[in-house]
Amino acid sequence: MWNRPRFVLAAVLISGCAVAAGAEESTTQKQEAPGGGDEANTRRTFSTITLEGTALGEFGDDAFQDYWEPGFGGEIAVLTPVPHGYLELAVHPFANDPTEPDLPRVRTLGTYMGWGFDLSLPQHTLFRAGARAGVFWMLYDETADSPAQDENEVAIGGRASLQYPLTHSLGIQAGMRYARVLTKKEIDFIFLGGGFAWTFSSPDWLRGFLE
Amino acid sequence: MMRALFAACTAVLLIAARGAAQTLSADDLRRAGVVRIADILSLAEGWSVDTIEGFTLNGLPPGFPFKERPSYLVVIDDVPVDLDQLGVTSLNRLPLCLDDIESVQFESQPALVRGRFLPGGVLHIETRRPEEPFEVHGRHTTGSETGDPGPYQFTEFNSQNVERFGFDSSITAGGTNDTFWGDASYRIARHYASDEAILDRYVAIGGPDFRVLEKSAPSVRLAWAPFASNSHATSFGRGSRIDEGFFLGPIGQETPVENAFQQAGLEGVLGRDDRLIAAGSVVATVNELDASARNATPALDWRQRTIEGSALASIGFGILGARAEIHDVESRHSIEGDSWTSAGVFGHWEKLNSSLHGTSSGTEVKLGAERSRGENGLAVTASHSRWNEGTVGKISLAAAQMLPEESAPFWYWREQGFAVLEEEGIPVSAEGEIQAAKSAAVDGSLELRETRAEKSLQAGVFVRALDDLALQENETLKTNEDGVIAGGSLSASALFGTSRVHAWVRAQDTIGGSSLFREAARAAPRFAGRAAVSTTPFSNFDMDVAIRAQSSTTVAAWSSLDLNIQKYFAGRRLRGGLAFQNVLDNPYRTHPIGQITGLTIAVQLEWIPGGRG
Repeated sequence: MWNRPRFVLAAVLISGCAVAAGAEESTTQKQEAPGGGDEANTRRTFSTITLEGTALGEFGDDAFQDYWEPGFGGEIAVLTPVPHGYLELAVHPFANDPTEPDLPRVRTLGTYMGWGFDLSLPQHTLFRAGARAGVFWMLYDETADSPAQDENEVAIGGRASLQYPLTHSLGIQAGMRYARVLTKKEIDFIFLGGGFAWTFSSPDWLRGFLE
Repeated sequence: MMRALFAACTAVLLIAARGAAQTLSADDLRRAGVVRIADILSLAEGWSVDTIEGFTLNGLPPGFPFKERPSYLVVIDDVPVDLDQLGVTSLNRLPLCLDDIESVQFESQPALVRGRFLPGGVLHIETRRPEEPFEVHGRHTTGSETGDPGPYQFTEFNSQNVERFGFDSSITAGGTNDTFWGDASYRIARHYASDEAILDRYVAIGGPDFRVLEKSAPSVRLAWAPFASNSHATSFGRGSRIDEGFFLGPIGQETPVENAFQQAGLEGVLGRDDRLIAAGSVVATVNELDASARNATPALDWRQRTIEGSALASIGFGILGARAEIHDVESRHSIEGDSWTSAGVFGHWEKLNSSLHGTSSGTEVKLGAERSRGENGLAVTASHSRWNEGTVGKISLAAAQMLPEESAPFWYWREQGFAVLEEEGIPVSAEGEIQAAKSAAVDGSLELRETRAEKSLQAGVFVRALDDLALQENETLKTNEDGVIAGGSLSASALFGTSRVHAWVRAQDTIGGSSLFREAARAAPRFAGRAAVSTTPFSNFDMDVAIRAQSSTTVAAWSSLDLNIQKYFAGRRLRGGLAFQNVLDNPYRTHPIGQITGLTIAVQLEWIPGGRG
């Protein structure tokens, strides 16, 4: 049978562009001159870079959490606007301490590409949501029974956050992240946390490269 | 040669006259998320594909669902590339980089190439040529199927590691000036056949690390085009070598081989004022299934050398040509060696008509006659098209008859295959005399297309009668099997803004014939189809969503939802792609003893000179 979470992810990805059409203004776009329609969308594309730093704690309760206890980690994400939302690159390292003595400590690094959209809310608050896919890198520390080794697996997930501006370019944000690592027995992570978001104009060389 | 011929006539009209041909550009292949050359078979309208380990893909053209025989031919830049080995045509053996492909065209009906009849059709591949004084083109693809044990390997939930697909990398460097061009390329690939369904067999025949299949493929081309018109001389050398598990049909299992292919040749075209005058080529090919250094049981050890020479000349409204082949086979099995020659003549006529009312028509006839190993062959194909401005109505008919049924080497290989079996103590017999089989195939198709509104609808029907086929039933090869296969196809395409929708469905079934014929024809599904939506939400960003589905054969019906995303950077010089195959992770297999395919993700990076992506 179809795997329901992946079905949901597929539906999100496939219908994404159309759904996101309502995203007219966002923090990643606000430095651009106002405008509407395709021309404005074209002008906004890759016009800004938003750098997000987020401290995240894990609050999931799955089989993985019976064997390992995920620690706090920090996520760095880079976002840039496109006509139907934004594109995102993110990295998220954290460590997982074993709950049993014969298990290795597992250090992990989630690397993601994502697409999402922003919605403006009252009080200049911004709701940001998106879907992600990427590679989840796992390093197993040496134990008495096994040498150190590494492995990687595909991961999918999503994010949702609220952002509040402090200045024209700087804001604070808080939200959640969900990641499912597609191992044979899948690993589910639910992260909650908060941090900052800094938006600035894209350098010309970078915008030229992205276009 | 054919390129020059096309240039000699009005290109659009001739393309219309080609009937059931389906052309895919390099951009189409990129958008669809093709990561290895053989993946293009999944895009071929009406075809079905099966695979055991995910690397060698067997393509079955519409109307010709029989395995273990060369049903279609690969032609690269108008040079036939005889990939067939014991009835397996593995496109991933091609000594070609995926990023060197300019376009592919599927002729999915009986066809003639230099007088050689192909009952399933022809795959034409046109390669790209350098356009700058010096340029470099490179691509790297890596991917994996999901389902590794992850950290659970240290717990009670441990499971088998899943490693495929591996990687596929290539680089091409070339250049051109006013009169010369040339390039050199190299491709290296690794594939992990680590699926639980096949892993035990691989370990048994090749050792614990045999799941790793490796390939290398170098290629060099040099061309001289001294005149501004369509005249050129091209020399080429290319080869590939794969360390793989070759599936031997009569045994029903894999055997480790070092699978090698080398081809070198020289072709020349003499044209004037965009008109073909004459063309010729000499091509030498070495096809090998070498015994692997691994624990090979049974041990294949084959080598076939072929030298083919052909020449053709324009005779006004058509072309006339001749072809000769010298074959030599070495094997350490029961038949120590053999050699034979083949010769043939062929002709190609076409006529284009236009009327004052804007309606045009085209008629194309091809004839081929050949003699090989004491057998005579004769084949003819014909097509007719009519169209006018705006709406294109196209009717295409093709009829072919070949004597003998397939090329003589096919039966030679089968006999050699039996020799291997008998050496392994497996009794094999033939019911009736094994001889060059005879068959007659009639293929007709009807296509309608409306192009003014960038929408099209095509319908096709085909009926094929096959006689004197020899088919395998357990350890017995039965000859004189007859049957009729009929089918139809429907495809539609439409452009909505920046999105294109394209869908096709093909149905076919046996409508007469022996029980063995019907059973063998079940190798291909009665129903197969693919629907895709390709959209460009913003400049230089493409998203392609496709669903493939087919009805049951000897395996259960299956479907797969695929998603491909690509983004160009730096003025379309750099391309990044992300391909999701079987997004819904709905496990399926395409071969009874083959891998079970789940969600697989591949990442591609490609450097494209001049931003021509």
